[in-house]
Amino acid sequence: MSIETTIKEQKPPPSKDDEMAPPWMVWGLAAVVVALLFAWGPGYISHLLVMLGIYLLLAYSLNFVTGFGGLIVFCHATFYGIGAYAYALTRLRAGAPGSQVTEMLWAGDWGYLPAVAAAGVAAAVLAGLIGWVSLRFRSDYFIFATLGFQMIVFVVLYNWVKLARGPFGIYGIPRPQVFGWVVREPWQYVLLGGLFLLVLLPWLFRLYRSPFGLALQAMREDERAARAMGVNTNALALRAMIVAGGVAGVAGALYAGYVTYIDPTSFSLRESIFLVTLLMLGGGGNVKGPLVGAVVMLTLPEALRFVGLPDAVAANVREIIYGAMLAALMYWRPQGLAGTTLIRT
Amino acid sequence: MNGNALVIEGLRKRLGGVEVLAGVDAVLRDGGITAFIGPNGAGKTTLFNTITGELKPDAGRVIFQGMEITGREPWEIAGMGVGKVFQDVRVFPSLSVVDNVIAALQTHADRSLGRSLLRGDRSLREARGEAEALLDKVGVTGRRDGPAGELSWGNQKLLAFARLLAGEHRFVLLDEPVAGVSPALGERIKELIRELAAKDGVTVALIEHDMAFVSDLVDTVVVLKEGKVFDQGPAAEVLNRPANIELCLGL
Amino acid sequence: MSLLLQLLANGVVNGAMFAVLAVGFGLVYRSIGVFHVAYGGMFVLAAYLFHSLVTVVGLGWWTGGVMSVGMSAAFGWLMEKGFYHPFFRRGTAPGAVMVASLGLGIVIENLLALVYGNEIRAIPRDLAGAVTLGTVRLTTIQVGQFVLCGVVLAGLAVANRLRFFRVVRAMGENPDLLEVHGWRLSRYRAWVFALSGALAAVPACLIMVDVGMDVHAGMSYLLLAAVAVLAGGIARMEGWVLGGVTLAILQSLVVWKFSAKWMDLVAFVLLLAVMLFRREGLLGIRKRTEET
Repeated sequence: MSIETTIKEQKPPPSKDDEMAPPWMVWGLAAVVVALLFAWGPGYISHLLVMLGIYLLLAYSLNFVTGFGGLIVFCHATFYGIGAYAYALTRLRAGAPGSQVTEMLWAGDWGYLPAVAAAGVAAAVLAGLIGWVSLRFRSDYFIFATLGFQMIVFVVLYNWVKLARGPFGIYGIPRPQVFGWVVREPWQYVLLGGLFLLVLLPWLFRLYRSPFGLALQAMREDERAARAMGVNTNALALRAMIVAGGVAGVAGALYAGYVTYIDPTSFSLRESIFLVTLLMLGGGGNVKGPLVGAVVMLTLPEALRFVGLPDAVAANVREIIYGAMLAALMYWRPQGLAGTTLIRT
Repeated sequence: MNGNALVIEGLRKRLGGVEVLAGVDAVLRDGGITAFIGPNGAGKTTLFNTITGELKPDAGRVIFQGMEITGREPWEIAGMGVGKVFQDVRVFPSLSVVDNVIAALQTHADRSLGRSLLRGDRSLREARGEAEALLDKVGVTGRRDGPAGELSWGNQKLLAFARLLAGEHRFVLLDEPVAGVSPALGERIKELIRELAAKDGVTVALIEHDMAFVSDLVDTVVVLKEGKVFDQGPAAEVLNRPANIELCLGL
Repeated sequence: MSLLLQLLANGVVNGAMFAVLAVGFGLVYRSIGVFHVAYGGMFVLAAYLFHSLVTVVGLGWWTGGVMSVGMSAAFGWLMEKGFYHPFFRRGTAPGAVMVASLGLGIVIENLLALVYGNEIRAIPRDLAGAVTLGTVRLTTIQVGQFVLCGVVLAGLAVANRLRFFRVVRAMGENPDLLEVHGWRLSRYRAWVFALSGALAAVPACLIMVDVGMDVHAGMSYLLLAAVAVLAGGIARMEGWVLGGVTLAILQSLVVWKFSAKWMDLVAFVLLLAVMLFRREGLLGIRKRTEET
C-alpha cells in the first residue's frame, strides 16, 4: 500500500543513544515507588513481589514477540489464562475436596511440576495455533486477528461451563508443593516466584541475545530484507510466539497456584491490553524495558488508591490512564521509557 | 563451469491491473555481469523481485542453475545461493552497523531455536571479526556500533554490499547499486562488483540507469521495454544500437 | 420452523444496522488505511448522547437522533483534526496508529462510564407495538430500524456516484497522485471521519432506543463492523453491506441451532473462515496485494 511506503520514508532515523528516558523522569518514578513501598507493610509488599514475578514472566515473554519481533499482539492474556486453567484442571483433585469437580468434564490429580509443565505446554500449543492462523495476515490484519482470538478464547472459557465452569470460575485450586514443601505464606510465594524467574529468564535472555533473537530483530526492522537474507520469517515468528506462549502459561500456573481461584475475567481483552500497555510504556527490545513497565504498571493502581478514588470509579480511571498512555506513547515515545532505539549484541 | 546461471521463460506478472511483465525470456550464463536496462516502468525491478521470490509470477518459469525456483519463497531462494541488494537499500536501521553484517553471516542452522538455546550468543561473537573485516573491505565509514539508520546514503549502500558479501551467494542481483551516490563512491562500488564477479562461480545481474557505469562494467546487456525483452547481447553492441539508445535516454 | 423464520427476520433487521455500521468503518479503512478502533468509542458516545438528549434534555426521538448524528459527525471531524492528523503528519506506522486509536477508544468509553456508570442504560419507553408478517412478529422499533437503515443504505448507494466518494476511493488507491492533482487530502480525511461518525450514530441510537447498551459495548460493535468489512471485502461498499447482513443472519442461525451465548463467537469464526479461504473477502477483488 502506498501509504505504508510513504510512512516508511518519513520515519525519522533513530536518534543517538538515548536508551533511557530523561533522568528526571527516572528519578521521579523511583521516588514514587519508594514512597509507596514505605506506605505499605511487609505483607503487601510480598503480594506485590509475587505479582511482579508473574508479570515479569508475562512482560519478558511478550517482549520476545513484540519488542524483538515487532509483532503487536492482543492475545497474550489467552496464553496466561490457558496456563492458569491447565494448571487448575490438572491439579484440582490433588487438593481439597471440591464438589465442583463432579460437574466438570475432567480434573486431574497431578503433582506440582507436571501441572506447571502442562500449563506451559498447553499455552504453547494455543500460541502455535493462534500464531499459525494469525501470521497468514500482515500488519493490522494480524493485530486484529490476535484480538479476535482473544475474544474467541474468552467466549469459550466463559460459556463452556462443563469444561472450566465458565463465569463461576474454579475455586480451591491446590497450592504449589515442591518436594513436600507446601507453599502457603506470602513470603514463600515470593521465593517460589523468584525461583521461577531464576530458572526461566536466563533461557529467555539467552534467546534474546542469540542468532534467533537477532533474526527476530532483523524481521522487525525490515521483513523483506530479512527474507532476502534467508530468514524464514513466518517460521521464526511462529516459533517466537510458541516460546512466548509457553512462558506466559507458566506465569498462569504461578498465578493460579497463588490466588487459588480463577475465572475468565482475569484473562480478557482488558488484560491483553494491560500487557501491551505495559510493554509499550516500559519499552521493548531489551532487558530493562519490561522491568520498568512491570514496576510502573503494578504500582500505578496502588498510587491511584492512595489518591483516594472510590473503587467503583477507580477501574474506569485506570482504564482512562492506560488508554491515554497508549495513545501518548505511540505518538511521542514509541520506544517506551527504557526501550531501545539502538540494539547491540 | 559454464552452464546457465539463470533461465527465464515467458515470465508474466500483473500488478494493480497493469501487466508489468508481459512475457520475459532471458538466459544468463554462468560468471560475468549482466545489466538490465530500460525506461522507467519497463519492469526491471519487478523482474528482480519475481526472480528472488518476493512476487509470484502469473505465468512462466525461473530456473536457477538447473533448479526450478518459480514460486518458491524468498528465503528458500536466498538459501539456494541467490543474493540481492534492494533499490532502497533496506539496512536494519535500529541495529548497529556491525550487527547488520553479523546477522547476514548467520547460517540457517545458527538461527534455529534449538541451536540458539544451546549456544546462546556464541556464533554472534565469533562472527564479529569477519563482520568487521567485511566492513573494512567495502569501506564503510562512521561508527560501527552506531545505528545503521544514521549512516549516510552512500555508507548504507556499502553496508548493504557488505551484507551481500557475507552471504557468499553464487548469483547476485543488484538493483541500482550506484543510484544517488557520488562519482567516487560509484567507482568504489564498481570495483567491488568487478571483484565479486571475478570470483569463481559468481554471476552478477544488475539494474542501472547510468549508461556510462554500465558500459564500463558489464559483459552482457538485456534491454527491457514494457515488460518484454527488447534486445539483448554483448554490451558493446547493444549499447551502441540507436534503437536502444533512444529507448533508454529519450525519456 | 417458525422460530427459524423469526430469528431470520431478526437477523435481517440487525443486518441492516450492521451494514450501516460497517460502511462507517469501511469508509475510513478504505480511504485512509486506518484501522479506526476508536470507532467503537464513537458508537457508544453517539448512543449516550442520544440517551441524554432524550431523557435529560427531553427531546423527542427524532430530534434527539438527528442531533446525535450531527454531533457525532462533528466529533468525527474533531477526531481527525486533533488526533489522527498529527499521526499522519509524523508518519507513524499503521500498527502504532491502530494501538493509539485503541487507546483513544478506551478513554472515550471510560469517560462515558464515569458519567453514566458501567451498567446497561436504556431509554424508558412504552412497550412497542408489533407488526405481524405470517408467523413472524416484529416490533415497530425493529421495523423502524430496518426502514431507517435501509434508507441510509439507499442514500449511500446513490451518493456513491458522487465525486466525493470517487475521491474517497481514489484516496485509498493512490493518495500521492491525488495530492499532486491538487486535492487537499487532509480536508477530505476530516470529512470521511465525520461521515463515519454520522453513520455510526444511526444504529447506535436505534439500538439504544430498542434495548439500550452499556458503555463497554463499543468494542463488540467495532469488531462486528470490522469483521463485516474484512469478510465482505475491503474494496467495495457492497461488500461491507453484504458482510454486515451475512454476519447478522449467521448470528441468528447460531442462536437457532445452538444458543444465544455463542453469538459473539460468530463474528470471529466468520472472519477466520473468510481469511483462510477467501482472503479478499466475499465480494473482494482478487489481487495479490504484495509489496510494491
